[in-house]
Amino acid sequence: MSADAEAPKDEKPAAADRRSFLDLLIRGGLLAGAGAMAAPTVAYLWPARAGGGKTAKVSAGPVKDFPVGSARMVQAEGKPIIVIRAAEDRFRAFSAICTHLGCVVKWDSGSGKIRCPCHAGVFGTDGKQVSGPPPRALSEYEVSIVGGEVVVTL
Amino acid sequence: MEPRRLRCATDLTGAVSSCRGAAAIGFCTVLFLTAPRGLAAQETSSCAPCHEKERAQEEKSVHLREGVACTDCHGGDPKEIDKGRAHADRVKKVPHTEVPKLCGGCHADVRRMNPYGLPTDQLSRYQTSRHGEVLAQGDTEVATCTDCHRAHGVLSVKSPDSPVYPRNVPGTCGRCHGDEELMKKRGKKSTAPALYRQSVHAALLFDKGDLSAPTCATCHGNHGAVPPGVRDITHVCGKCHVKEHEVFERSPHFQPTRQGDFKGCVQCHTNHKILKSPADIRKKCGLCHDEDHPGPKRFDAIFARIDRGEAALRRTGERLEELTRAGFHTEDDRVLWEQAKTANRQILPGQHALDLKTVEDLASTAEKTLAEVDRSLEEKEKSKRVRRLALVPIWGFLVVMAGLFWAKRKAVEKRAGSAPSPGDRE
Repeated sequence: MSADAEAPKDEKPAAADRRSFLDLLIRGGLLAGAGAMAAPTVAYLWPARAGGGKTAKVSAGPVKDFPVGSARMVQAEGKPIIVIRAAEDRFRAFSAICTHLGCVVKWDSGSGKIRCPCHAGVFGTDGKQVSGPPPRALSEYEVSIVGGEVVVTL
Repeated sequence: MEPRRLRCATDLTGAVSSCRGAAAIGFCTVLFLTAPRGLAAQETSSCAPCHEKERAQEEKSVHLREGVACTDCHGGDPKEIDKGRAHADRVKKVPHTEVPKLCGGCHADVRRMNPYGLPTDQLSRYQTSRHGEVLAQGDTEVATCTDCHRAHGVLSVKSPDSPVYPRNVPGTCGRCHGDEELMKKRGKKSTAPALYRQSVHAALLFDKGDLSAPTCATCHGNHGAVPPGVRDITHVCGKCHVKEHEVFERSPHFQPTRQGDFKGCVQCHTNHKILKSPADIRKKCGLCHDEDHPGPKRFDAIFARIDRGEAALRRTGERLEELTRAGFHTEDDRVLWEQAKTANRQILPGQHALDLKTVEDLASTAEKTLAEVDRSLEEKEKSKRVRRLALVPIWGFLVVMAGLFWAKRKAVEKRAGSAPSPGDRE
């Protein structure tokens, strides 16, 4: 039973109006608060329609636009990635961060090597260090061809 | 009659010569049969029981493992149990001056070293080294193979206990080169090992545990150790510092280095301590130039530019980190920041040409990229401020709701106070 129903019959109508307005505000506020709490829960439980997943994928473009002996820079999750077409059927992707002091490496098409512009570190098309100060090979990512696109999976 | 005492436990050779007959033969047979399987020539030879100390030293030796016997170096007959006969053609102690040739007998033998993949030029390198030259001049105290590798218990260079394991090389060389008296006799300074310990190379080797960091042998050579000549210094440092070497060829200091008037890298960085801080290097300018010379001024301008670039990079990096922590997507900004960092990192090796324009070009590339990152970060920071402002209505709502509940409570209490009690109704 509501407070209004319990109101004495000799009470002034203005006081009854104030009470019903107060109740209205409280109900509205409670409803808004409940809605604000329910919204993220519903959003969380609602089936995902796009994105998500543990691994990130990034396209390096169509295979037909990727000549043998060339490379492309792509980025995913804040990481620069160098994708190389080492042979007709061989694509490889490596982290473009030099293992020496963290500079961004570049592809040198003339020598067919990956070079670091900072301290002249050189990596082969297998990502392994060829010369210079880098202490270890570049990290490698998985490459696949999906629908004619070169896709790198992180 | 004095009782026959068997002294085999402490002196097998003596025992064999004194207690002839069945007792000695029996003891030696037991020794042979109880020797652990797999032990090489030294253990089963007649040397080990008497030369306990050397046998113990040889325990982990690569020579013992590969079947090199005591007699391969010292001569004698390992099968003979009689001391006199075992030592018949034995070299009591290999003369220090003969050590390189003795070791070279195997280590310069290509066929013998082939399976191990070991180089066979150590002897010829040693002979052309400063150590080898001094030995040839009659200095019998100079280092030979055994001073660095030990005579007994020679370990692989891969073993952390080996005196020639990278971390141990400075100590091994320092045993002689840090010995003031020994060096003084030869008119040399004994400060090199102590200076090396203060160098950036030693910090890498000892503090960071980087085994590829340069040690004494990296610059001087190991078997062919020589102090590099003035003209060769840039090549020695350039083995690792490839970019700096390449750029230095465009420096005004390059020609004087070729002519032998400038000591290349070590003129500014020194040889063993390897100064790295620009402030320390700046002091070296004064050795050749007046303060009015354009060289030192250019140095100041270059490093002021580098400092400015580094500070900007650091500032943007910190903003980037803060926004990433706040939950913003900063992946694209991070890639751009890495590119700015790459341009900035090229300046330090690039400034060895002492060309202000090259430095300026690289610095402005970094600056432009950073400006792009900064613009993007500015947008995100604005968004962050707006999000903070959103807290105002939320807190306002909570305060209003608290006020409404308070008013409701008051109204209920008021009604309860004015309502007639159940007894009054009756």
